[in-house]
Amino acid sequence: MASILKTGLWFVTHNPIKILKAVLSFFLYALLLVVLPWALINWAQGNPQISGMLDMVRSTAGIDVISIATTIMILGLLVSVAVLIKGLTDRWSVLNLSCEVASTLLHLTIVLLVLGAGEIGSLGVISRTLQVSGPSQPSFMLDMRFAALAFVAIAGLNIVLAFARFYQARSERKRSIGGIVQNLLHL
Amino acid sequence: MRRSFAGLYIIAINQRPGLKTGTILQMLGYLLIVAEVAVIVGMGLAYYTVIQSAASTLGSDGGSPLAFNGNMDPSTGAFNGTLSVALKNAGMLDMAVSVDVKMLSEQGSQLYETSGQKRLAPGSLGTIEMPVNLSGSIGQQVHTVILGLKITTLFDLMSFSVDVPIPAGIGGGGE
Repeated sequence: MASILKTGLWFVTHNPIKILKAVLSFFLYALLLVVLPWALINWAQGNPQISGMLDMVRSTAGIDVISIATTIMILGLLVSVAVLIKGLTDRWSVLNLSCEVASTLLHLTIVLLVLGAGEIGSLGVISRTLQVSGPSQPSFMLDMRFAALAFVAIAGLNIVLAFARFYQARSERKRSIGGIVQNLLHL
Repeated sequence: MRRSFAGLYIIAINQRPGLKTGTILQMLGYLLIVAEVAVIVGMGLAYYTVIQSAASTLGSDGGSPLAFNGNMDPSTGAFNGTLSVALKNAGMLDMAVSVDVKMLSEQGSQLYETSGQKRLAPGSLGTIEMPVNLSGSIGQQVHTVILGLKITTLFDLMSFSVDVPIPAGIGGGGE
């Protein structure tokens, strides 16, 4: 018990509301980031028209929608698990903090992946030259750097906030444990 | 004495001095959620505005978005007139459109360039007119006209630009 408290691996199995919330969050994230992309991939591959359109987008603009959706599914599964563990642990535990930071970073990766059409490092700038028949090719650039930088800033603030919550929860816990010990000594 | 000291300690715990910090952190958390939702909504509206407007400008009727109004001097072969691009803001946000037309030779060297810009309110139509004064010798060399369209929206924070090459015989740049 003492070692569990020391390492911060304290699962809140005694609080059914918290468990329910964690499980619901897990299913919500899994539905949005795993089941939905999976269903869209299956639907697109089963529909010749959509499948042909996606093939054309891949060959002309170099944007592989199926590959992006598959990456989202994998990252989404990791986010869902991180959210579940975060929900099952107390705020003062190191595991809770790690899961919160991991889910924030994974969430940011998914957003940057979508904004960059598969290129996370492009930070929201999609620049492509279309490969079409003819002497010269049209090109386009969609610049969503503002949104990408805003999401990076929000993720950074979320991580800072997670640390602040963690230290605040730790100090509160120390105070309450101190109080319990004092009460026990007094009794 | 010891009893009263312990009692004071318990009172101090019950008053929860950390609650104020917790509330502030919770409020900051909600603020970040609101900011995230605001960015998503703004981005969605900007994306819709840009894509709809670019599609309605470039490919509404399948023809060239460029129209040339002017005349040619038969003795010298010089063109004098205006190139016009019909625009439509089919989105939900205010947008600024700039059009840049470049005329290239067969080797790809730039022979002539003209540009114009306009700001359009949601749902409104507009035309950008650019003066064209081409000498006969240059007009004969025009092989490709590159129409560069740039749409910026969401307080100029998001932009979409497209360069469409049009063979001179279709776009009206060289005939």
